[in-house]
Amino acid sequence: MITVDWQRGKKIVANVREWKEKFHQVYEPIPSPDGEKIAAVVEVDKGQCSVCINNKTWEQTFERISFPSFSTSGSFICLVLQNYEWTLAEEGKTLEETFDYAWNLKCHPKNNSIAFNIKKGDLYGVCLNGKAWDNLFFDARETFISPNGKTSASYVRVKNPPLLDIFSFKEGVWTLAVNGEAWPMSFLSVYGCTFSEGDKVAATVRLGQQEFSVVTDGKIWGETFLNAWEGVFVDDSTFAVPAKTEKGWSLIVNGKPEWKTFTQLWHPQVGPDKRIAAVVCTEFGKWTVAVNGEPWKITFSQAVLPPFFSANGKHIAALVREKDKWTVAIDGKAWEKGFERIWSPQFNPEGNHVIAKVEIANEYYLAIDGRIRAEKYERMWEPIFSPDGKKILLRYVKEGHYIREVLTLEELL
Amino acid sequence: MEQFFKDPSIYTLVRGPLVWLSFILFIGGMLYRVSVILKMAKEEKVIYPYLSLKYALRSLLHWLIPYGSISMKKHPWFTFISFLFHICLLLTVLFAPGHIELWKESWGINLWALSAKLGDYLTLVVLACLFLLLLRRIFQRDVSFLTSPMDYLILALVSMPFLTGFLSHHELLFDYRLMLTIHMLSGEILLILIPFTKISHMFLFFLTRAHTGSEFGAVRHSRDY
Amino acid sequence: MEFVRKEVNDIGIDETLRRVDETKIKKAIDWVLQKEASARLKVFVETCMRCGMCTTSCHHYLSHDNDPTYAPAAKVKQTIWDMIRKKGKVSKEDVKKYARIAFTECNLCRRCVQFCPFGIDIAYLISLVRRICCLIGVVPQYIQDQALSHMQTTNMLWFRQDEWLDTVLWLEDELRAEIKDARIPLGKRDAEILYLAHGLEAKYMTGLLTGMAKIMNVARVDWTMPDMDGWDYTNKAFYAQDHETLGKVVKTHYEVAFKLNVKRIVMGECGHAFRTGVYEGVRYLGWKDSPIPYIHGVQFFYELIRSGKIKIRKKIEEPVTVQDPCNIVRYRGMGKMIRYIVKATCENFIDINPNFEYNYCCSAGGGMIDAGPPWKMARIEGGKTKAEQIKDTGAKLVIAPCHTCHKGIEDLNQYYKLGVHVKFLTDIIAETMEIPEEMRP
Repeated sequence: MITVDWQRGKKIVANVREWKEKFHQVYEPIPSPDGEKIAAVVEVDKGQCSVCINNKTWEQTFERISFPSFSTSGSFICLVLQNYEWTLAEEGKTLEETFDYAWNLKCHPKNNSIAFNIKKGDLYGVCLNGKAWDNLFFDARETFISPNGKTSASYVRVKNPPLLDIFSFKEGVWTLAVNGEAWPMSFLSVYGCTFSEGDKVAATVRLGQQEFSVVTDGKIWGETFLNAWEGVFVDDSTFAVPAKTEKGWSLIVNGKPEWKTFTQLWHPQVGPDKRIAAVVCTEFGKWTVAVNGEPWKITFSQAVLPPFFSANGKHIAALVREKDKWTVAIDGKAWEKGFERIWSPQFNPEGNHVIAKVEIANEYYLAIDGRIRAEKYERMWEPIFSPDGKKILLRYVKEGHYIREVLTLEELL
Repeated sequence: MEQFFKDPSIYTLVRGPLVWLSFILFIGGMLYRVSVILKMAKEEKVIYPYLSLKYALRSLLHWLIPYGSISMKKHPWFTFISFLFHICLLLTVLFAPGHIELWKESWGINLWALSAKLGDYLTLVVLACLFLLLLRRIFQRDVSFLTSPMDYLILALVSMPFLTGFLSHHELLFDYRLMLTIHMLSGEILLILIPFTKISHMFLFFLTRAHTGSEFGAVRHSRDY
Repeated sequence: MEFVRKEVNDIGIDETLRRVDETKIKKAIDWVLQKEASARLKVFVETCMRCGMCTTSCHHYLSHDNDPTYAPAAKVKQTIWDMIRKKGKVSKEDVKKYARIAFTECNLCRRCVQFCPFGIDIAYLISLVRRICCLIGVVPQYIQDQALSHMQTTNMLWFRQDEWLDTVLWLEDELRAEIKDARIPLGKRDAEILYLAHGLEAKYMTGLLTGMAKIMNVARVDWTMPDMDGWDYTNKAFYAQDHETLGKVVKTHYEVAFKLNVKRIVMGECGHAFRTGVYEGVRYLGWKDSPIPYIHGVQFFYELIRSGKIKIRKKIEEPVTVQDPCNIVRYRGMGKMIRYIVKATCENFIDINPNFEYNYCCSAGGGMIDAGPPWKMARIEGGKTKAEQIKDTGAKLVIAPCHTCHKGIEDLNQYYKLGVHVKFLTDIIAETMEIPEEMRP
């Protein structure tokens, strides 16, 4: 969608320190994914908000601006409040339709569809690509966009019993609405909404105190479990969900336990080769990643975050925490050095190198394969690999200047 | 043992094979109970990872020393009686002159012995304590509310060997040999029942205190005494 | 001695019992006593010598004129022992009694554990009774309502997402009247601290949240609050022993922290949420300790004052005493920190007796206040000991760094006419701290 300049070199984009003098107040700066732009919500004057991108400020001002970000296509999007009405603003232009409230602004990373939750009168729903749902509900929480960009979903409340009417609430008041159409049944709770590549939609549902199940496209599984977390589509007709049986937690695929049991199991992820990796607790207080049911030999005592695959599917990595430091573990082997914080590590396309932004003593560095580069930054964003894996885009602030810099992988190794 | 085979009688049975049997059941039963509990504790997952030797010992120390805990200071009389009871009980069981002979005969251990007179006094103290505990059980409202027939039975079970020991020593009620037989038998019954009744607190005490002591000290940074 | 109580109606208990059958009751008892509970249940039940050493440790026993049916071991006798004796074949009347004892006569404060020669964890046994009641569905209506809300919304009061966001924006506006250009960041990635609030602070007690935001701004803390579900640190499912919901709420809190990539989670002044955030919740999920630091308001304030990030302008003069909340003092040893903060902000501090981990519960904890209006008198009556304890200090101001203690003591104050007023540390610090010249509007 956006063509990124991968020429090696450094470019000073804007002096963001000056913004502090120029505006009444400057919020947290946000760089564009290609690094060419730096933006921030600013208060031009007391109670007058606008957006400043590369030293240029939107003409219009608003009372409030929330959920600011760059869209997949590189435009700057946010939700804005003016005269008690909220709406979407993209590149300074607002939607015609306004809402009593708007929040949870999302942009799909592949198809650039934009959606957010809305409130109209006392009813709630979603607005996708400028069009609000026809059907609205007593509540709507979260926004999900399908891979084809044409479908949106939200957890909605379809019944409105009076407060404290626990028996009505116990019958279930929540369900998933897809494009404004609610599933026919309702639940104690519904979570883990996810789409398949073919736009099928599924979620985990709770039917009773210890009765959890899965609904795909409005059809509930016959099996129930003692507990269950968020699941994932393996393909359009296969759904995997971590669930608890009398023996412990296992990965349930289309209703049947496929993995041996663990003390805990969550965040299953599907790789390009359809292998499934998940976070598991092999025994109380010992965490690791299991791939197709086989846990790594190494375990971590504090935390393991959701694993992720390299683009070719050959390698799996996860952020892990041990002795109060974060580090990266790849294919069962952890980096030697730990850091105060690490931001979303990234594989190169071949999967043999991992880069990440790391923090040591309140300063930020680029780490590659566990080694840190000497250069440190006062502010820095996640580094990005070029599609061919040969270059790395850095976005950082040095001495008040926002800079985009492209380095070659070679010089970092 | 040999005596029984030479001259099989109730007396020699109680004095020989039953002593062995009761010790085997006592030790075996105790090991069995503890091992079952330790296995269950492993399955429960949240016990072992938090155990701390330091805080388990801290806890045990405070509860094994008389008036080592606030609770004991708040119950001065009960604490006095129960410590007196437990100490006298242990001394009598281990060092009564008759028992010393037994230890020597069966295990070949030479232990220091209480004098017969002192043994007598200690036995009377144990019985007196048991009597006071019984009265407490009957008349103290909160304790009597908790009490079930089993608690009386246990008091009776514990008092039997002491009572009969005292009677046999002074050749009261029945003739010496019969009384001694009853004494040994009641002691053996008690020994066998220890692992399977509440008297098992004599070893479970160390397990519960280790757990609670560790939780309070190492995890919650506060005191359990 | 009989179990005699005034009749109290709670549809969560009574109406549910009308709708369930004995099979469901037996199934729940068997499940909890045989499948979920194990070594601790067995050893605790078999080791109790019925000695009565725990009796006088309980404020409910003391407050009810030494009625033996309120003694800690007696509560176990009338619940767990009874179920074991009847092998789970119990009547609905029995369950009603179990629920009443477990939910409204025990605060799970664990004071009795400190007085038991064997260290038997009576609060754990009582929580098993609650778990059984929960599986049957017998939970006080008000607690059940909150747990139902947590299941989907993560917060305790059915708050919609926009209501939360709007409240914070509005509080930020309010705060700017006191602190120039004050900010309450929402969903700010990479902040050092993720601050979570009490559900009620978003609706009825917004002043407290503003107070915290004021402190954050003055201390120049790099902080944020969630712009998504998970902003409410409360976890009322804990009171019902609804482990499934309790685990999901705690998981959500940590995952919000991971998503925003903060270094620590800081919560306000609340007891049960700290307990679930560092013990019950994390253990249920399989973590031995909290995966990243989970800091209580008391620890946070202690840090701010010690490091000089907050300076005190003028100390409070009236006589002050403190409430040591069970869940952070008996459960985490924060008694000294509380006193450090109180002494830094108040001239005239009078300690309470007994204090630190030996302090009495406010009688509102462990869900008793959350059981709502039907059970208000149960906690007021059970709190007589606490009321007398406060009266004995002669203090005019009680500092209670816990929402439950705070409200519980306010009610005791009103009923027993103690003539005191109750404040949070947040109130005290926001009131007494120095606001730098450049921050004044």
